[in-house]
Amino acid sequence: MMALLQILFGLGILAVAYHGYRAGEIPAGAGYRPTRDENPAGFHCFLTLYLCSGIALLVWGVFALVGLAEPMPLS
Amino acid sequence: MPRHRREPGDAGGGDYFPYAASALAGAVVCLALTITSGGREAIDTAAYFPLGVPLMAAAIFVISYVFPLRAWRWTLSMAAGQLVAMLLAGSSLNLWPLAIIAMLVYSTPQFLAGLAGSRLGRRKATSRAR
Repeated sequence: MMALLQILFGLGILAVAYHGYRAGEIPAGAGYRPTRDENPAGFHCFLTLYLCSGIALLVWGVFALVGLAEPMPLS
Repeated sequence: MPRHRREPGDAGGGDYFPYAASALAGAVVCLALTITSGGREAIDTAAYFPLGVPLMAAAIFVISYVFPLRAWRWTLSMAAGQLVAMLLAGSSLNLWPLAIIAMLVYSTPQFLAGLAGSRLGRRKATSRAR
């Protein structure tokens, strides 16, 4: 169950990253949306963060699904 | 002046996103295989071909579908990401020419998946443009 959730979260984060890349504006917290034109450093920083974490969550979820890795522990 | 000619399916906005996504996907899959196998090289693990290669091919398929122009670039970028992951995992550079050739041969499924995704993406973009 947790593995599926991880895959879903990973896909969701990747979708946010792709949508932000296309729109040139990425959501990054309450009221903070760095844009490619006005705040390129913040935009690319959050884009990289979302890309890395989305792919990592997705791969971790698939590995957990096939039994190669422990799913993320929920306490 | 535009950097390159726009064709149906060109997502625009620069090209770094698919490069970064494919390189990261290759690196993360290889690092995950190395970590789960207790430090062995990703390519030597039992799960590389049954799990790692299909996972990377699926990633390339999706990336090529969304960015269908010259999709072979995403596979090369993924191979570079895999090489970086293997270097990070402690592989030596003694046999690097051989490693590059082997990596390109092992990337054949990704090239094919990229070709299929690119064709589908172009077809969709062309039908949308009509």
